[in-house]
Amino acid sequence: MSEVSPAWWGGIEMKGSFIVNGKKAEWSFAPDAVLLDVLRNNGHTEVHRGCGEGECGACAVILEGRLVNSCQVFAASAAGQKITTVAGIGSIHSPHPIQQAFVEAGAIQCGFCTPAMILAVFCLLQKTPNPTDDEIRKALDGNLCRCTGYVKIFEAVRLAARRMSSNE
Amino acid sequence: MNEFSVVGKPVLKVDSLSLACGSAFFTADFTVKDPLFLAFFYSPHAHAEITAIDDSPARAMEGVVDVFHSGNTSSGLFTTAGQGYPEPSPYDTRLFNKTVRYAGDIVGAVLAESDKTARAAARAIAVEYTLLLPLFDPEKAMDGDVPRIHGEDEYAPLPVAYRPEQNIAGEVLFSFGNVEKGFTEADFIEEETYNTHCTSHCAMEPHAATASFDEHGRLVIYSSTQVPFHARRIVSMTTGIPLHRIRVVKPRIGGGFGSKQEVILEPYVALAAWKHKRNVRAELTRREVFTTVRTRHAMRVRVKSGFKKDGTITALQMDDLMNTGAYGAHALTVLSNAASKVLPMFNKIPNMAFTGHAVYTTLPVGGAYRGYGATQGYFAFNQHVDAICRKVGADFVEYVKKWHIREGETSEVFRAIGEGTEGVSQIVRSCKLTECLDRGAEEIRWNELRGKRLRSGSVVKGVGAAVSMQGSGIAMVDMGSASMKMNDDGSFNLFAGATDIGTGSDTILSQIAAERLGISVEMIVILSSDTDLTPFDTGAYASSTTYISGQAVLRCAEKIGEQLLSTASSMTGAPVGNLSIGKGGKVINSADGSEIPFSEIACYSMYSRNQFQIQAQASFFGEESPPPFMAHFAEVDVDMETGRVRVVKFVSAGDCGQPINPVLALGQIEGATLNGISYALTEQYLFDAKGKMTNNSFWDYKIYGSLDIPEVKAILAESSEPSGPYGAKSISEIGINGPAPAIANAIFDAVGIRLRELPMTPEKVLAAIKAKAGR
Amino acid sequence: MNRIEWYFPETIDEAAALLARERTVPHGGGTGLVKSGLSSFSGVVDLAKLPLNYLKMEKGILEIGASQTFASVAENLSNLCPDCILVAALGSAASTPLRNRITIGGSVSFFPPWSDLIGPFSVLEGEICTEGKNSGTYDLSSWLANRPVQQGTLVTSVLLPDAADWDSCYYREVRVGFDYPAFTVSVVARKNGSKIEKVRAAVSGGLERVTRLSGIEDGLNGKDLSQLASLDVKKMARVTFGRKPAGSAEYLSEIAAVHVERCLKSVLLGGGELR
Repeated sequence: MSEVSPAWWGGIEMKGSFIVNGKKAEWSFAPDAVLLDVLRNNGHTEVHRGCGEGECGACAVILEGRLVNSCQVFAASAAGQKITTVAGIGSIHSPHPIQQAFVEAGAIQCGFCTPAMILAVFCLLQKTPNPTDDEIRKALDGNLCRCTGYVKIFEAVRLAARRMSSNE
Repeated sequence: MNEFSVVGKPVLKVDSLSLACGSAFFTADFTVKDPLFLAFFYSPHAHAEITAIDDSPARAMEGVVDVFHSGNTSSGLFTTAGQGYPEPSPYDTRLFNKTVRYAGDIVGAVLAESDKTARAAARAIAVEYTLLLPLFDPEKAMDGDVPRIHGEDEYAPLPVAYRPEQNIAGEVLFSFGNVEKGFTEADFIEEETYNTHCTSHCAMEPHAATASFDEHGRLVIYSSTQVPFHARRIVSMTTGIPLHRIRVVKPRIGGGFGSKQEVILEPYVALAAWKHKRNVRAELTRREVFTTVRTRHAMRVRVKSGFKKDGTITALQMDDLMNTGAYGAHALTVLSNAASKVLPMFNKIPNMAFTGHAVYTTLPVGGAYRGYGATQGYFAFNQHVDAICRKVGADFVEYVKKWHIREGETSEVFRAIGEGTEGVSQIVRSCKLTECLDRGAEEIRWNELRGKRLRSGSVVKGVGAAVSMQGSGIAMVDMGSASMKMNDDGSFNLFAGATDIGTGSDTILSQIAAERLGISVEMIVILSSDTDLTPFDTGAYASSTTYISGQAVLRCAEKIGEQLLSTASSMTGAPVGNLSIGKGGKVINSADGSEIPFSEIACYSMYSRNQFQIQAQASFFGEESPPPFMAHFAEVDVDMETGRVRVVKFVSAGDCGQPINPVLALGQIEGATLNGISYALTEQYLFDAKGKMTNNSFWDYKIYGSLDIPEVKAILAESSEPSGPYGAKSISEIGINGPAPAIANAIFDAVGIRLRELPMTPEKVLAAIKAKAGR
Repeated sequence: MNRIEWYFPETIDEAAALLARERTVPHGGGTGLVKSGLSSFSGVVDLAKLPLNYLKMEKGILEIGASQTFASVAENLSNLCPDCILVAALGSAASTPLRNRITIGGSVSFFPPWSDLIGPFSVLEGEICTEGKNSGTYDLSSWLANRPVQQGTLVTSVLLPDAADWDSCYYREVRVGFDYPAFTVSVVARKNGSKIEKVRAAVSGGLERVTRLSGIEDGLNGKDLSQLASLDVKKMARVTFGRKPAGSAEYLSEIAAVHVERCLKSVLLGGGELR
């Protein structure tokens, strides 16, 4: 077995290091803890709990480049890996074009689904810079929104795609 | 058209950047020092008396601090409904009831060092029950020989009909003219019964509340609430904590749609915190939200009308039976709205009668849900009208255009039916429903598709329509207020009680203030919904914020304007009559064209001479409730072999007066429309034989996602409501009233079957298709 | 608290040895263990470091490592073999973030009634390769028939020996787009002009986890396309269901047969399956 485990026992709980938004952190957690709780308990409240069952997408983060529901990922299995939350792609002082596009398109009402939705769009546009409507639909298929009816979310994605590809 | 600088413009929502970047806080995001966690345990039985509670296994667990239940905690009777005081809902529940009345009813709560421990301890508690007979069928609730669910000390604080001995939680009776006579004058009689179902709001943020102590030992409650002021009052009432020792703060809210117009968690966290003088957090799981929080009331609507060959309705009779579930929060008022928001639509009917009963059953509790009874009533009404049109050979759109209430008209119903108190007579002063119908019909291609039954394989196309109206606040009941103060640089702080639950009220209220003062929204700093810092507002319900809270802000801004002019006059010596508010933050002297910047006025007022703070406050309550209007159109494809109904396109054309912010208004319509579509087709509560909900998760409770959305087109037909701020009326509820009836009417257009029961699942559609074909 | 050890083996032998221990369970990253919880286990073997994340296609033989996620399989196959039925099936299962975690190995271990993998696996006559306890290669029916064989074993890969050059149609019955299927229909066929060389059809989600429609297959294999019209497909495609939230047993049975007919027509006669 490997000498260096990504996660190990540190007393009564496990310990692991996580690289969140580019910063390394060492956190304690129970062996059955899910990544969502570990992130929220350690200050990343921008990751939201909507259902805890992988059904609503509000908790989605990017794990090693892939969009995942953090409530369905054991913290232990994510230890040592790169995690991106919405705070990692832009800030209120310097928002990412996707965040800006969501604001301008009126795609944010209550905003609870928004951080995860923006990450889903981020993943989409990385892979497919000029997505069709069907590709947008599919990329967002795991992110529920009850406020907007998705109409302006789609407009925001198209706006972000236009802006980001014209910047290249 | 009105020329406004800020109103009517797509100003960016003031909180959206913080939401996009994750810097905004929802209730569960606040950290408090050393919190304890509260978790609930619930009844597995639909109807039972609690005979014993053994909480010792929980108390013995490490980390458990306390256990609350009817054995050790008493409270008075109250209602959880977030309404004005005294509430029109019966006081029929305590914090911990000794009788449990539905599977999921709160039995007790565990306070522990972690959420995990609290929940584990909750599972360890042994409760003994004596089972009572359940009651699941609302049609039987008023019969003599069924279980009585309430009726010991429960009472209604307002003098309204309340007969728990008959399981009646609310009753509405209304008539004018003589319907029987009207029926005899008719050429045709049409009578059908419609059934709507109970559904969940599915706001993405589960309910949460945190009770903490400030430096003075006052209780500060952060809550995911639509009604912070009602929450403060009800917390004080139920726990005995003096109201002035309680502060309720509403942070960002992850949607409500009515589910958070309910005071559910706050009294419990307050009770636990106050007793132990510790900070306490509670957060419901999604499963708990489905069963513990309120639902949309299921309603049976029986409609009977008499009409002539030319379509003139001579009499209309409606009999509603509403299932309010185990407790009566919002029972009377939702029932009232099923009449008061529906019947005025055709105000020329000379004979009308409405009977409505809200009955108790041992099922999850109905509460406030966007549309609030109008949704249920319009499902029946619009299909009924469609049926009338079919019978007399009239086109639905032309028929409604002919008969709907118009500007300058009134309806007996306004005066007759209120919300627990008398209704308020009013004249409709703005109504663009005809334009909504015309524009919507064109957008859906009504004339090309209606009646054509275009077919592709086994799929048949149809179009259907519906109309609705709602209200703008509750007249003579809802009140909002606002205060403003000026800062050195010509900016203003705006303190509004009004509750932004994602709707954007912070933004539109800022727009109203900014418009009045000729400045940009950036110069308005809004703070809302903090019972210590902001003046009172009833809260986010009854579509009241734009109209009522908006008027309060406008009046407040007007007073500020007066102070600006009088101060400028003192500064310059110019007579006030020559001064006016200009554009861009200045006062203009019409005599010589000179300008006095706001910042100079501010500094003069604060520092120079006769110093005072430019500040004002205003309150507003509505003397009427001007209705918004909407026409809703659905294009559907019906698969004759599987019963699958696909909504291809949905058009919602609405008149909300002057939209304060068209992007936000369209967003409300779009969101309500999609919610209404899955309400019509896929959402439902499934129960086992014991009355327990079996599909309390998104796994089996299905709402529309990105893969399901049809083409949705929202249209604003602008009118100007004289009594509204800058001509505005409400917009946030009405959109949800149309999809179910419009889709049902479209299904009839496609395949000639009328579905009178929700949801319109593929299996039901297929069964109806086969029944019609005689199979 | 229950002390649960997490292991991160780097070789299959290490993993197999760990899994032989009592109350020790493999975890590929999927959602099954998260949902069921870890309370009945004392050890979790994280498979992420094992060399099981591969996909090979050679001469129509498709081998997929157990750690490949549904998303990776769909992506990789859409480049290698875009018409493969697995692209449609795995590419529409669950949701985007879930497809990024659900693994072939996890899916094969659980094969729940709502599996999107089982129908295609059945018509492509795949095999399951395992190491450690009960190691060997299993066809689907023996795998499903013998649940105990799955305890303590490490699924390393699946083999689909004849995965390319099929026309295919996949249908999943869902209430909304993001939903588990009440049933799925999988049809693959090879035509030679107007002759049906081979056709395979399966319905999953019934009382039997997956049912090959052998009556229909026998009626069409080697026959002319026109033979399709003479079969009462709707009757022959009837599979027995239990009641589900999506519908009654009778309804599901009826419309599954409708969709079998539609898939067959789509694959054999052209034209898309109606959404």
